[in-house]
Amino acid sequence: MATYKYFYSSAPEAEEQMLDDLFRVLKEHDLSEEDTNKFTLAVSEAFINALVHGNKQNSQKKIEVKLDLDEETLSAEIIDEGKEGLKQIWSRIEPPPLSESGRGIDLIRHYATTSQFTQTPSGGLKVTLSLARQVKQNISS
Amino acid sequence: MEEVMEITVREEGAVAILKLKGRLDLASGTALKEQVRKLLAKNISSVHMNLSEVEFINSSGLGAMVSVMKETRLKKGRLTLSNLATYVQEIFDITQLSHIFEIFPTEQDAMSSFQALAVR
Repeated sequence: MATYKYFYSSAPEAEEQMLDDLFRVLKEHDLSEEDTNKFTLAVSEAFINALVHGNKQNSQKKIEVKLDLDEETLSAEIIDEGKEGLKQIWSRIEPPPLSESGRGIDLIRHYATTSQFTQTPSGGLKVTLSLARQVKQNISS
Repeated sequence: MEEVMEITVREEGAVAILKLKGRLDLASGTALKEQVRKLLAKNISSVHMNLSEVEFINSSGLGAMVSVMKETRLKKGRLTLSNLATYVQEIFDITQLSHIFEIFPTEQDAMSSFQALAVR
């Protein structure tokens, strides 16, 4: 099992930093393109939720991203310092067709094998998600 | 940190053709909206986006595209998309945005649709 932990400020450019880190880690672990795409999207959506809705892009607030990778599963925890994040998750409604936001949680639920939303003791939101890795085909004869 | 989205623009009449390369996310989505706003302030009313080199898109990128579509509609124009990678097409399908956007297999198909409308 390989574990990585990162902390980001909630400035707008934090998303790019997080994606750079995530792509680098996934590349080191020789994942399939499909696993990379699914996991990156799910983590990215949780991160954007933390950045925009949780910490409201307050650069004084941190987002913690923890990644655990092993041969079978990719896991991530994304934790913000917002307030009542869990309440926002439960009270969300399906976005109208021309809405410019509101699709992230559905994408997490679609792409992650498991996803869990819990409240931290300080009121922030913790998103825990996992993806079962594809078995890579051995193409050598 | 490197530039994550490169946008190449060319104009054919009232249509701006944008070729996007890289990641379409929160920051690059904002840059995309700004670029399109500048184009629509000129003699451009419609936008075509060739997504063949989009490596990553998330809901923030989708939101930027919805915003661009609304802006083009305000100018009585259209937003068309083409050359979506399978993975990108799947995200449009899951979010049901493939029913909202005009998506063509190729840029040429999209541009032909503009010409077909023009001769009617």
